[in-house]
Amino acid sequence: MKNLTSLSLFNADRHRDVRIVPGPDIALGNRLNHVQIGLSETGVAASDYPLVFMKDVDSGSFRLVALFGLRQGSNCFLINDQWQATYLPLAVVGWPFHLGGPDQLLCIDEGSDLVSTDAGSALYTGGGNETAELLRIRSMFEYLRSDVDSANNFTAVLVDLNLLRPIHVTLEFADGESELIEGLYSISPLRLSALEDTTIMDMHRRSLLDKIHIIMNSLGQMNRIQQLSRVYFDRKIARLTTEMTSQ
Amino acid sequence: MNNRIKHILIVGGGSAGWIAAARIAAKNCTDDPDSVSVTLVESAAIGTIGVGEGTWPTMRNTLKKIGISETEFIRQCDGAFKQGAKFVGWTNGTPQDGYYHPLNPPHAATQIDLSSHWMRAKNQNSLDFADAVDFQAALCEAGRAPKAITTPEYGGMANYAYHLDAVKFAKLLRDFCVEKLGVHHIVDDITAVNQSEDGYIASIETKLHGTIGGDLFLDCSGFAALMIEGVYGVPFVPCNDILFADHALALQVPYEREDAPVATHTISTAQDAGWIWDIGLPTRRGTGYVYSSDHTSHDEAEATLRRYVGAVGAERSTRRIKIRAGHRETFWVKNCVAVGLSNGFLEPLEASALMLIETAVDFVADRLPENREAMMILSKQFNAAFTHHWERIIEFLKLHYVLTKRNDTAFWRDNVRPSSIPEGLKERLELWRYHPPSAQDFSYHKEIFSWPSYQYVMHGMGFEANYTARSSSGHDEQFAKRCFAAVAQSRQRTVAEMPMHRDLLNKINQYGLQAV
Repeated sequence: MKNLTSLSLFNADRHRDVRIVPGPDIALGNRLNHVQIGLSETGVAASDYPLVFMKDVDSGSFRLVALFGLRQGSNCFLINDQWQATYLPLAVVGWPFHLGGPDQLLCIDEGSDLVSTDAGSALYTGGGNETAELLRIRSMFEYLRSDVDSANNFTAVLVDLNLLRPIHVTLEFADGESELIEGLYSISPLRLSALEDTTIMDMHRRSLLDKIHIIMNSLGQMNRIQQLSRVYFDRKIARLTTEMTSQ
Repeated sequence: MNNRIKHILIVGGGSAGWIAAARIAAKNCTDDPDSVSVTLVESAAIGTIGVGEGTWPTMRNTLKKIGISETEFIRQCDGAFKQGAKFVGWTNGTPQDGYYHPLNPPHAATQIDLSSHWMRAKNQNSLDFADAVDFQAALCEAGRAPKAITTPEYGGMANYAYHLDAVKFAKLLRDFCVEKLGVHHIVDDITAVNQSEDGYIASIETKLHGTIGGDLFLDCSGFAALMIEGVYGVPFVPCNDILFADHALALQVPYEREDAPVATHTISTAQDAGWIWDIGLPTRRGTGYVYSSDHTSHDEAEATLRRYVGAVGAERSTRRIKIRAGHRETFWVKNCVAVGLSNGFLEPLEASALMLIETAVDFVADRLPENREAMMILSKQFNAAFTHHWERIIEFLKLHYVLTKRNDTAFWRDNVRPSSIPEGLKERLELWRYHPPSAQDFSYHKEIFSWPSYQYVMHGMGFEANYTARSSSGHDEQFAKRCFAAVAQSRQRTVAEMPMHRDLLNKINQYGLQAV
């Protein structure tokens, strides 16, 4: 969450009077082309978004993300301030809250349009106790944190097995120009098929194999991005191709 | 007699021995009992020289072929990224005197020669050649890395090589060879080398392990040259009439602060009787004065180096190494190949030592002779290649000296004496007064220093040439302008986007780089 300059650690004293307006945060959504998801979200998230791996800019580590758009700062799913999808990733639902810092603690984006002092749900009662709303938020982020941990562990398994490979998305515009989108990674089908039987069986037993296939198949949602992109690209996309350039 | 080449015996455990063992084993050894085997014998008593701390970009490929991850390499060898060299004080010795020899070739090098266009535009444009034709000199000047933490292992936004701790490097290779590649490692003293009747080496005698046989022997025994000289008496061809440096004085110094910037290029600063190298690792700087003892005394050399280093080096002791500049007359005799210092050695002005080891090892590992018949032909090719390489490297090193305008000391005056300049270099310099160095001047298909290197050094040192008379089509002129604009743009972008060198090294230590 590099671009959130107004993120601060959630704190009972500092945020006692904060109220939360229902989201999603359209202003933030318009600036993001992806969000990190938890492992249990893969099935549902893949019904809307391409799921890919991207490198964290700070550590270079791979993160499992749902992709909203191809260019940085473009979200194809937000059309006329409406999120055109059947599923919203938990991280988006949780806005203006985020997990931040090395320990992934609960943070709040103080500059978010969803943060108010006069409208929305209170986080603390007049007596200073946490409201049901705050308890709900806490438990949701508790779940998300452990689910993202699971996704990171899953990703580490893929990295150890050397299954991830870069994918290049090429946009060909109607006027003949083209644009190459880099920085996205997926699972190499050839590398997957070359794994030992015991490795495949082990991943199946750990319920990782289905996630692998969901993620690989979700690349089909690139078509949806192309379809929705018409609103965002000044030029008409004639063709969008996704290919794995190295095996 | 079955003369299949199966047992490779490497004598010597410095960088040369271990690079050879690793590359040959990674390429040729399998689990098959009939497969090639590699044995390395090193003496416990003899230390490594351990000052070869700069590589060429070729090292990335070498490490990749061996199968070592770049993250492990950086972590275990105190590795750093090297993007070229800055030569300070070589042209006239004034405080402004300095130029870069970056590892990137000039922009659009396969499509256009920018040097004549740069020369024509020089009056309106004050950019140095290196800055005008590529962005890498600016990255060096700003202390920016050639890659980011998100760049895969062995990939870069700019071309790069490494600075490394040579002792730790040999240890990393040794552990990898023994643990992962099945190389047999024997620590023992060699007491004799046995030849068979046909003159081929049959085996070596060791103190504790008795007789060890082999089919192909790599002489990586350093200056001792146990086999190439000890057995075959191949003469040494000195070149100290061309390159005068005969000593190096090395001094390792700490940084003043733990977070001090790490230079991403070798700094080579001219002195009264030679030059000082300055190589930044994350943990320390390695410095050394390469000098000619005909032109200065050892004491004066020590004083010069200490003056350069300043207070940070006051408590550290120096180590003097003799440089015997030159090479063997032949390099591969029968079943004995000289690799490393036994093959030849020059002052480390362009980091040629490790690169020549890689060149030799590529030759042996990638076409490991199947039998003696093949070996005879391969050895001919090898000898022809190395004769060529040495001649051209000596010329290229000499180029750095002959273009000087310094006449303040005898060392610099002697260096431009025509009798000290190889004929081939003289002839080409005459040609290059009218035509820029081009691929045509470097016909060998694996030329080590080709026209980009020559252009960087020659234009860096203000070589007086006149290319303005050459006609240039309007089309070329326009293309050159676009190239210069593209360089200016990428210079701005990369200097802004690339991380600081030390920050990247810290991140690699903390998180590691991804393989893809």
